Amino acid sequence: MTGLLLAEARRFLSRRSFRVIGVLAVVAVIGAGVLVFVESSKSLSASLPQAKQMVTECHQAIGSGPTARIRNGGLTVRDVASCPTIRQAEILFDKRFHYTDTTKSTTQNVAFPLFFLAFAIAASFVGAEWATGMMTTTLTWEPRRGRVLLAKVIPALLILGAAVIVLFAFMAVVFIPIGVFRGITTGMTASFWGHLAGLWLRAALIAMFGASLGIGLATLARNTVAALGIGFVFVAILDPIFSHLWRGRFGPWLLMQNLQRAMRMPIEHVVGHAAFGNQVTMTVQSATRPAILLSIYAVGLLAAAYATFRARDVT
Amino acid sequence: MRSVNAIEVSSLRKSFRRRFRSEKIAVDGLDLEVPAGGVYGFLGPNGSGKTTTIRCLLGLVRPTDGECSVLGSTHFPEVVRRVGSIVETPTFFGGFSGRRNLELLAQIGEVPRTRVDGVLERVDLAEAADDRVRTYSLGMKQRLGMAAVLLKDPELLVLDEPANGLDPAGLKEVRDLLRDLADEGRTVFISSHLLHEVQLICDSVAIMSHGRCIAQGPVDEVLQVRGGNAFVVRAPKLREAKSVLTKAGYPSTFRGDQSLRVVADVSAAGRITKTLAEKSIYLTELRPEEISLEAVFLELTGDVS
Repeated sequence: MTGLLLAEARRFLSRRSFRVIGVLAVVAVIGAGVLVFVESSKSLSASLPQAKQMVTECHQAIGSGPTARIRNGGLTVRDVASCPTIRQAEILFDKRFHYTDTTKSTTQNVAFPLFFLAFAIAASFVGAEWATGMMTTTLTWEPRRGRVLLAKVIPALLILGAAVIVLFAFMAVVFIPIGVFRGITTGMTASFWGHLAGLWLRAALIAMFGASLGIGLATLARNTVAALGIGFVFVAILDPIFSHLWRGRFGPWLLMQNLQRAMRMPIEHVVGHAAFGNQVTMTVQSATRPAILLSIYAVGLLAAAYATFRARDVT
Repeated sequence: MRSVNAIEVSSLRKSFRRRFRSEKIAVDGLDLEVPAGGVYGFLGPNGSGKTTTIRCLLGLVRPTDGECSVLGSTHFPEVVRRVGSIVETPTFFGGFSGRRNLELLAQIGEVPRTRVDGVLERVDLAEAADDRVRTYSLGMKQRLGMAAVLLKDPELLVLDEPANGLDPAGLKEVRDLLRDLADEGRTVFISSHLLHEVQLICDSVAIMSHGRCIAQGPVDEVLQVRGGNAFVVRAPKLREAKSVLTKAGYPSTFRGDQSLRVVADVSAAGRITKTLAEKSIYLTELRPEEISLEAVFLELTGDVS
């Protein structure tokens, strides 16, 4: 079994799709880093002209027609509307690169494309073996089909999960000079790094979930294109339709909503105030439920794939 | 201790369900016994059930009924390390070199990688070992397939059309290789359309038709089904000669090449000459007919008029 696992891992790492996408991802991170570096600014005052213009336009707008009507009604402008101060407007147009916030939000946003890429890479990993007839050769060397499937699932999931973490770690490293030279790096505490590592892990798990779906569907269909087609139809057509049926009651059980929740939860609301000693942080929605649900979907699909693989003839 | 038969197939039946159509029976009650040691030819026209039988033997296809036993075991995974096989065209990862493909298989089969170079040498592929497989010709892929089979140092080789795509020199090399393997005490089970090649190297054969085995046994015995000894007779008045010989008790038929096929015992050569000479028909050729496996095959499978 170890030999089979190692052979499949070597094969996965040698796949052109994996290598090309990996290189493109690295190039994209570097390219984005360069663009952000050029566009950002070290000083808040870089946004001063835009801030001044905004405040001026705001005051002009308030001083025209609608303001008069408000005065006739006995209200002052301050009662219903106010323009931001120049200081506040500066923050709106802030061109400084905020390392901690940007790194976290980028990690959350990039996790979704990586889910789809992991799905496609894993589906082609299995589908190509059926297309070339190599599965027949493999089975004449290891006829126990459970082992064969497991030897595909384990390396694919581990490698893709690790690749996602490495990619995000690389992105975090690329962002550091931007934060230092073109922005602010406040908040880079142990707590931040812990939170960021948690996000990487979630993104890796989401990519592994995508890979499970890809392998499962490609094993069932014995074909890469069919697996990709089924995935596309579900995500682009069925998932949105079902999410709107019956006032969204299916939503909590569907793929996309759970993926988003798994990546973005928990949402926490702060209630009360520290000054009065009654501040409480309430977790409105946790990531546990979507994580468990997605795991059940992945295991269920792989179990169905195994049952079919075991039962069907290889012709 | 080695079992007497390397392969035993008993009442094997395999049918495939087809959507909107009737069931297709690929193998219909096949019984087969392949003795250990030697080369065994598995013959039959396209669609006769050869490849399905081989897939059943290798556990790729589940029999609908009946049983297959390989090296004494009905559970193929138990003996997989002792069996080397090629099913139809050997398939490999095109982007990898021949050597790398073999190394991967060695890893899967937990075979020492040191064997890779040896088997590449043995199939004369050492020079092209580091080229990508997608650049290989069909013949080179067949050689690589043979190398993969030899990697396990198997007791039993199950080869489906191993000579496909080989040039005459390649055919001879494969023939010699298979004979050498059999001489080393291994069992070689080959399905092939190259009947002349099969006749040259096989000790025993089985002939399949419509999912059934219609003849099996040592090659000499199978050749006898053609109807015993016969002569090829050539003479100036062929139609008259045929009539004379038939009347004399030697059934004769036209062969289509200005000669007659005359069924008679080997000792009857003199009597045939005398019978024709008495009617002033003088022979230009009289020789024993060589019975080819191809002729027997075509006769048995009904592909000859």
